[in-house]
Amino acid sequence: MIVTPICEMLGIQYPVLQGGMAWVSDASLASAVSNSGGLGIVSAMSMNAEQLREEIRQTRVLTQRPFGVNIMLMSPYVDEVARCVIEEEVPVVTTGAGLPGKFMKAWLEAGIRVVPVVPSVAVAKLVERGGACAVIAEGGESGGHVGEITTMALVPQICDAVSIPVIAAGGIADGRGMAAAMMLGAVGVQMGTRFLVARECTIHQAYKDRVLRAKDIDTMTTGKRLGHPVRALKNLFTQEFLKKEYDSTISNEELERFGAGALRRAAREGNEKSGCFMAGQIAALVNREQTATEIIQQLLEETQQVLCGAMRWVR
Amino acid sequence: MILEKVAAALAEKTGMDAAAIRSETTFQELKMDSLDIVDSLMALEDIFGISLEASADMKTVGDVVTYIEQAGGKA
Repeated sequence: MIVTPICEMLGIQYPVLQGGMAWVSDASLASAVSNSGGLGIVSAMSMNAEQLREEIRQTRVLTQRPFGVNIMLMSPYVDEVARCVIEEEVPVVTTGAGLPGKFMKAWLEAGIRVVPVVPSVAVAKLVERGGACAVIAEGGESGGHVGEITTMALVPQICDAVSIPVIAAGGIADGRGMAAAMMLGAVGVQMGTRFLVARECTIHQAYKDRVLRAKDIDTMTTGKRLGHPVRALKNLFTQEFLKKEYDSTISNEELERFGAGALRRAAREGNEKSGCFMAGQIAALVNREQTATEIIQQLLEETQQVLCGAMRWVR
Repeated sequence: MILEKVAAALAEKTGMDAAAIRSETTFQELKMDSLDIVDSLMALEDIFGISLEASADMKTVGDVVTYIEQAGGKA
């Protein structure tokens, strides 16, 4: 099987992380991924500390293995959530939407392994210096909030820039993607879209069905005007959002209001008209509902096959 | 002067005239997003011989100058 330094570092069997996705990554999914040997991650999204505490405790009911919490640094509850992960002795924290520097000292003193999601070389260097034990280099192929640089370009540059382990994310759903990430220098992968269709993922079936029937050109990004572009499957909502984005008579505040709640409507209600079905460009390769264990085992078997066959063109 | 060196570095990155970059100039006016700001701060580290905390929260050129002064940056 596949074992890399990130396994010992995070206390996991396989170098596979499940992305922290708002309204998606709850105790059910996170515990299933951890029980399957990867690192399940609970999304703190915009929860307050008590809501997160409950989700963490529920995760511990379902798994004895390490798991992580993804903290969205722009959340209005970030300070109390940052304290909560210390109080609840969460072993791993991943971060997104900002720089985690303000919280690093307290987290490191509490023994938490911090693995920020980074969209650029400069951010990777900054967080390494701040004490991150690894980084997740997430390219623009991913679903949800995305950066400009693709995984193919970003991962090797971040691998060159930092000495800590690099986990690749964005556009990875099978063994080819994981093997490619490792050839770019990564020692692990984080997947989001693939885990949307895990049986243990509690999102609405309509969301899973949208992912399962997606084609290569079915995602689009919106929200660039607001400074935080989001990749999702095309539907009436994304098209309407894009139209408003290009309308200069509509203010940024109105645009934000239009988008508020859209992911929840997709994930929890399956609302195809007004929901935002976040997913990555690799959604077209995700075509079967499986358990988390099946997903991880298939991924690793494929990766091993691809890696073992990598020499076939060398003469 | 720290402001002049910062203005020169930002002018090189943005293509704007360094003389037009003042203490009260915002990063929004310079059309720099958060990643551009972090990237520029890393470059300024080398110029001024300082290290940055990973939580710098700056809105204007003046904020950067103040931060560099407080961090002991050499003009």
